[in-house]
Amino acid sequence: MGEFFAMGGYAFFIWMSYGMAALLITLEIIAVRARRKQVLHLIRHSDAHESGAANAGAQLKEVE
Amino acid sequence: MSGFKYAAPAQFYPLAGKMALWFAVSAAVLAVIGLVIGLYVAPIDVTQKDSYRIIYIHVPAAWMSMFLYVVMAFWSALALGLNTRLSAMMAQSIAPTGALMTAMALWTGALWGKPTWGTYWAWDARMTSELILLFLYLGIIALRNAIDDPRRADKACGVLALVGVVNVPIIYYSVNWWNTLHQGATIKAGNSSIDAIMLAGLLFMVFAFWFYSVAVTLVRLRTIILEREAGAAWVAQLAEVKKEGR
Amino acid sequence: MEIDVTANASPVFPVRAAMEPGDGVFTAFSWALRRDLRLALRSRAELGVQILFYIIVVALFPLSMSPDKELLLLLGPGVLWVAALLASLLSLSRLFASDYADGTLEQMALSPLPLPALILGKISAHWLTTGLPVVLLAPLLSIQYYLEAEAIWILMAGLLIGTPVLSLLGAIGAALTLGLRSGGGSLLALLVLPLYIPVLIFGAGAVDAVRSGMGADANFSLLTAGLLLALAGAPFATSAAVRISLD
Repeated sequence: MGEFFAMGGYAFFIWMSYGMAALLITLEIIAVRARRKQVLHLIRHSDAHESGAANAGAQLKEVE
Repeated sequence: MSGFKYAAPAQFYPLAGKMALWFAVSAAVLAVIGLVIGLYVAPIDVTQKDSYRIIYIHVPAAWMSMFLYVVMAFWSALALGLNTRLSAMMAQSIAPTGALMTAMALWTGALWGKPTWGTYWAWDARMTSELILLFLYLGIIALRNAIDDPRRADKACGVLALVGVVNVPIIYYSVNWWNTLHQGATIKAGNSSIDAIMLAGLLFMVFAFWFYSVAVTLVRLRTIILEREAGAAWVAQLAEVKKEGR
Repeated sequence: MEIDVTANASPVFPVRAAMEPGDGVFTAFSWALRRDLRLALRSRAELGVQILFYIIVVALFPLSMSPDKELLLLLGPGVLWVAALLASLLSLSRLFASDYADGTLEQMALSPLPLPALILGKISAHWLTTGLPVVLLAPLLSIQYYLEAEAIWILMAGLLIGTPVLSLLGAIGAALTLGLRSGGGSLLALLVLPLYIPVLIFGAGAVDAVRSGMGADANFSLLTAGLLLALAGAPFATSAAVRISLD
């Protein structure tokens, strides 16, 4: 197991590469999901059903 | 023209959700197989030893960074030519993932460069072009953020993407020219022929990156559709809008 | 059609001047060229500042390293090119900004005259007032870098072909960023500088090519090809961008 992680002495380069790739992808997924949640939340709470739905769009604009 | 009805955001929104899930699951499966092959099963490279294993993320990221730019330009051209809203949103949702892939290709390239070339950064033609590609992506994202009106932003970014895609080959050619002029031969990443199992691992990773890009782009596209169509009746009818939680 | 040309836009926009398709291109081009030249000459002080900027940037490099002759000989062409890029960039925002602010640009877009031709006229005026001085000052500044006579000629020739490309490509970026509050100059730089890179490589490389005995023919051919491509594409891309920004 230790041999696997040592990567023949190249552990630093290998795991910094794979680690950064994993980190970037994780961050992107988190960011995309957070934005979706935020947008859904704003649509729900902008009284879109009663007082003119255009309101929601305007509010979203401000948040951006 | 059965596919044509999906050109409307309202029609495409549910389909995009299903597609995103399918691509995300496929990407995860492919990535697991690719990583097992790449990090464990595949043998050590003769000249580069274990350091070559960076190839399994560097090459897919670099390919995707270029491919996504072309795809983005394609949707931009479609948006400008046919004035379709959905294509413009598609182009918008691709840009961040393209920039991310470019950054990843640069980072892993630098970490691969240290053991192979002895330096983190070399003004190698491919690395330099990748850096310029990152600037092009960031330019499009910055222009998008600077324009308040989404319709104007769509068109402006479309023009910029098309100008960029014409320039990418010219930039690559010029950097290559400059590089061969000043440094002699381009640095080659080892001359060992690639093993069949190595190639298999690489292919799995390429498809994993590709499918991941499609999935994350579609999810972002769905959010963009919701943002732009916030007032529309069909949005209010969506299950995820009606009920609290997810 | 009554044209309200406010501010300092003169002469009155030539709406009636040209109605025939072929005729309109040249009328539009020369009208825009002459108008912008006249306006530029009226604000000579601003032009002078831009040229001074170019001179100062060139003078900064030796101060940031050493006045070593060998080093400066090597760096000279590249430094002059980078300074030319920055000088072009600095003056780009002026290309459309005042016409956009006083409504002249909108009149141009609405007029029956072909917009790409009007824009090419404006770009030409921009080059004549910012690119050409850069070319003409190059020999003087080359002396600060101890450049030999042949290198100076090659440098000037490269700048002569290359700086119009900078104006043409820059116009696209200037049109896209018209009227944007945030970013402004720095956004324009981010959009335009990556596109300038091939011009920089082929232009600044010309002197190196001659010094290494290869001759600069290939560089000049590539620069000329770039100029033709930019001439064919940039006016249309810019007019599309102008229309988008006016919407």
